[in-house]
Amino acid sequence: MNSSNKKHSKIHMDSIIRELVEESWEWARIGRDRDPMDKSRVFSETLADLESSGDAMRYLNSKGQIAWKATPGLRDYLNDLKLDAEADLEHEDL
Amino acid sequence: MLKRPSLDIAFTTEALKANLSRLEDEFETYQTTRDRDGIYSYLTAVFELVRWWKHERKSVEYANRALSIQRRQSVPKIAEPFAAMIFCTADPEKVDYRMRSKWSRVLRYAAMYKDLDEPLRDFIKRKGGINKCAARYTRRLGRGARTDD
Repeated sequence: MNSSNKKHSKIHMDSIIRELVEESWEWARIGRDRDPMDKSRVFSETLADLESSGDAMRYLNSKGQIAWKATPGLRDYLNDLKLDAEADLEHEDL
Repeated sequence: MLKRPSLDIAFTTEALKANLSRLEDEFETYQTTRDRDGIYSYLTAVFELVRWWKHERKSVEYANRALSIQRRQSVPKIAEPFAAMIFCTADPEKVDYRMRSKWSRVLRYAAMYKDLDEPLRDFIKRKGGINKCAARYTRRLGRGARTDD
């Protein structure tokens, strides 16, 4: 494990936020808009963006560590998307 | 408090505003619900936010920033971060000074004695409810208890 990986592995996230952050990392890698590529920086910037937009929030987890999780607003939004998708699927089945 | 790994992610003004907005939404939800336990969601949101601020030893700084960016006309000097965040996010016509003080004492009591993995609501109920927790704080830690980061 290189030093960059060690650093970002200390950022504790729930599954929703981790997925979004990993996706940003993939986009950055594909776009190669950073030279050299710095995974920790991509992670940090994405978390900061998500926090500023009200999608992610920091909290103290049960181990006393700063961790990140999706806000209730983002959870509701994703849940609505899921319900819409399920309704569309049912409609198609008919 | 436990380990303090310093996350190198700045807490921007935009992030602070997003958190204030989230807490305002929680308060509004509490006001519109008939659920007797509705208050706990709002208090938990305030508690979680200030808790990580305290962990980073930034609670007074961030609470002051919140007070300075909130839009109400008269901004009292509130040294205690929990009370400051309640002032910033709860409707002042619904939550007066006494109520704010009581909730703030409950949250300070929980910050001192609650285990990290116990939900705030469970802790408060286990300790006899909101009024009893506020009284416990006053009795154990006193009105003159210092506000630390």
